[in-house]
Amino acid sequence: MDSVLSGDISSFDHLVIRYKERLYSVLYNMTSNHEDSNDMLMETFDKAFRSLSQYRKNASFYTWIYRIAMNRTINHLNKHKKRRYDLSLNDLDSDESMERQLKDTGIITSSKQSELSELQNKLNESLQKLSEEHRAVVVLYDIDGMSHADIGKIMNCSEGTVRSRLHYAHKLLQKMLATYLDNT
Amino acid sequence: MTRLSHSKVNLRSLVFVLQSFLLASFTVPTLKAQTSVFDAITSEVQSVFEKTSPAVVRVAAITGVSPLAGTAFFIDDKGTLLTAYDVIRDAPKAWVEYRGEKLEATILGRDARSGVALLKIDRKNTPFLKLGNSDHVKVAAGLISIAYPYNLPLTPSFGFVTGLDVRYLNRFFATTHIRASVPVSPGQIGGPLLNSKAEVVGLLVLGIQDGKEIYCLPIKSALRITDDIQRLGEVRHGWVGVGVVEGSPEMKSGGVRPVLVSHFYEETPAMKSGILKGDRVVMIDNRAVSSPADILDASFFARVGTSIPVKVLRNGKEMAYTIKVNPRPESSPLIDRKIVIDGPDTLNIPFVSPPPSPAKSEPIRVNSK
Amino acid sequence: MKNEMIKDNEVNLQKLLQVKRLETPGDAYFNGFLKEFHRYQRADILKQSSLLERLHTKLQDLFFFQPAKTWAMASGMAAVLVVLSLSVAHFNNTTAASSGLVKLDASSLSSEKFQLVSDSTFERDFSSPRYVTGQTPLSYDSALAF
Repeated sequence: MDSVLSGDISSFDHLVIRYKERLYSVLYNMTSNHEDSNDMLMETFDKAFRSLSQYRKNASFYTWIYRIAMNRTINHLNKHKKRRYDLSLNDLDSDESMERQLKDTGIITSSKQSELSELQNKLNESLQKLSEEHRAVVVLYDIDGMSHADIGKIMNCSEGTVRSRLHYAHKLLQKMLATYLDNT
Repeated sequence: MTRLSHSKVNLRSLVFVLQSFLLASFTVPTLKAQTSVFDAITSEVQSVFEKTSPAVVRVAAITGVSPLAGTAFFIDDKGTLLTAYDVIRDAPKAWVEYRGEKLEATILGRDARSGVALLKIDRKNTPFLKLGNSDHVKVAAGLISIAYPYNLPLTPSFGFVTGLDVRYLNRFFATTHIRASVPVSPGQIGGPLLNSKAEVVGLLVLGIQDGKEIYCLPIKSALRITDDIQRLGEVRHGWVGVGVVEGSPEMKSGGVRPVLVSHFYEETPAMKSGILKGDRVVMIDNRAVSSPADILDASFFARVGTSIPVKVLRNGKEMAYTIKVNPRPESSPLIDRKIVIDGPDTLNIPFVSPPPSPAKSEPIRVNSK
Repeated sequence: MKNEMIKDNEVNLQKLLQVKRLETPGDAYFNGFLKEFHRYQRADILKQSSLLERLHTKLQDLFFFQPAKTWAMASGMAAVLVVLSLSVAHFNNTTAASSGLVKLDASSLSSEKFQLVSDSTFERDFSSPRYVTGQTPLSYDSALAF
């Protein structure tokens, strides 16, 4: 990090290379939109680069950059709330390779391809129905694999708040999925 | 380069220069009447462009958030269009711009594995591209692409074949692809790669190096896929169930690393065929094997339901077998992902593939909302 | 039967979420990302400097057509401009110089940022489409088998 702080550009490049995939995944699961995720990712790294002077060495770099990413994204999502619902099409990229990998994992035991992709899409829809704060904890904890403590640092709240938000979000998601299954 | 080859090159270039000089001194008076090489290239590209333009169209499809836009071209006079899978992905509908009209196209079939999609519009006597022989494409051959960049008019691009690859970075394509230094822009995927005779030799599938180079599926490979679509209504990739590895460089014989059988996949004909682990594969389906490319190409062209001859070398002896070709399973072999984070943990998500199912693949289900 | 399915899915919610990590735009996107990011940074700088130029031209026009009125405004603007130019120049020197030549080439144009004159009938019906650059095909596998 020292070399980055001194303005060495190529070191920052290393950080971009290191975090781009993980950060993209978080942003994509927040926005469910590739263009937005790409834009947010660029903005995040750009902001991080410009505010390197504000980064304090004893803080963890990755919680710092995650904080920038989450702030930008939540602001962006709040600003464009209306625009999102104007889209009449399925909001999410359906990905054939995702379906393939879902079955690859052996995690999903359903053998019907159609049922799998429906479930996957329903989960994505349900995630988008959560408030940004609740979606954030699910994305960071369940998808990104971050600890409660780190999430608290990123979202600027206590560990307890993180746990209760997670608990509530999980209940909501399961309820939404169960409702969907009841209707089929 | 060794010093010897270096001096050979020098001598050769010297001879070349001398020859050119002699030729030039005899032909300089007549050169004025002839066109320069640059003019020749220009007129050739222009000629190909004019001949093929009517047969190349824009395609758009709606999937996910925003529409996708790319290029496609006619391969017969009945309105059949070839394009890349990535241009339509799993969209339920596609539209084609033909003679100023926006027409809805029927999606005859698509295959993500090969990157091919086949469309059809309801029009007769459509101008179409002549199909060339992609087997004749060699490195350094000059080729032309004609396709639609962004929302701009049809654009030609020119370059050379830089490689015939089955490997990109550290992974493999399903079959050998043509790599060419033909610059491409977004929207040009799905367009044709043409030779100087205005024949299609490839389908543009993937831009790399920011569009400075392009990967193309050879037309012969694309036609193997469209043949399945037109005859069977779906694509059936073959699967024998033999995993192979390239031998280490020390095992080189005849300047080539051997391709050795390393493992078998469960519930496949390969296990009971008589082939053993460690055998050196030398022929599949009458195709000589000297590299991974040959393995993958043979597999790509093997048709489901047929039985193919396979020859291996075992302890210096050549053994011949015949193995049935099954449909390829949807799942891919073991993927082990390790994602390291800036912290104490290392997230390790192991994925295990279920035993490959022998059933044929279901058609892609599209979400109708 | 339905109840079993519901129960299964409660247990699998966690696993379903975990698998979402695999939703990626593909290697091609990530491989080109760093370059795209550099381009993004350079475009940002250009945007800033072009803004200044336009401001400058506007001021000049104003000055030319209505000299009397604009004196007061101009002097105020001039002060602002000086400050802005200095800060941009400084930024230019530190960032642009170190990141190399600033170049705008056709391939960096995105359909959203530029309104190109189009001859396509698609333009009306498909606004801002994603122009396909190709993604590594599904066959892109690390295993070698036949």
